[in-house]
Amino acid sequence: MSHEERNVLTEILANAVIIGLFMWFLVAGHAAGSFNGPDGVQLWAILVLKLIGASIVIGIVLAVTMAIVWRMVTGEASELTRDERDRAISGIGWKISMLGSVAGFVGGIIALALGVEVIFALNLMLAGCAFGDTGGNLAKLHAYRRGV
Amino acid sequence: MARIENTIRRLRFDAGELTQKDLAARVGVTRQTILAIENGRYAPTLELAFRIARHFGVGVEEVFIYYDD
Repeated sequence: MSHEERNVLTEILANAVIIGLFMWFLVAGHAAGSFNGPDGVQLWAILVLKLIGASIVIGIVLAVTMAIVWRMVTGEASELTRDERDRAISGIGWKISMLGSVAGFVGGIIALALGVEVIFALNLMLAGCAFGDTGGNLAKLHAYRRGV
Repeated sequence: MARIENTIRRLRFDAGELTQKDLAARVGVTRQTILAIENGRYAPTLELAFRIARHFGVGVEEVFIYYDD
């Protein structure tokens, strides 16, 4: 397994944790009525910014941990070369990821047009990005395993 | 349907059992990419195909064979 392929696995794992965190905080905030007031959208944005910061830290910690565990288990140092195959596979993942983000964005706009709450529309856009990213990583993993 | 096969495994053998890792280092890619090319799971760019062929001192068509079935 190459360094890049292992990174994809780590990102899938990190995404699962991050999506769980997002859902936990956003659902809890919604249930508590935190986003209902006049500054609800601002509170939502601050919470999401904090979660984005946390997700970056989680991603880095998981990547470093994975590299250390891999080294301990296999005795192989990470081969840090990123070559043309990695770039081709990255392109496939990026397309899927963009598709998810655009679907979320358009879905959010449609939801707003239908008169749903702003927070719901924003969550829909966020979900599009999150699941798009996961879908992109799964597509990359598939490409690494099955070929390009 | 067209398919591309390659003779990298044999060329490595003829070059004194050159390892995938060594070949990868010499043409500037990862060992996994050489493995994927050998197994037909990745079609390299023209540039990499030339680098591999030149490494073995043969033409590209001796490394990659195109079948138009």
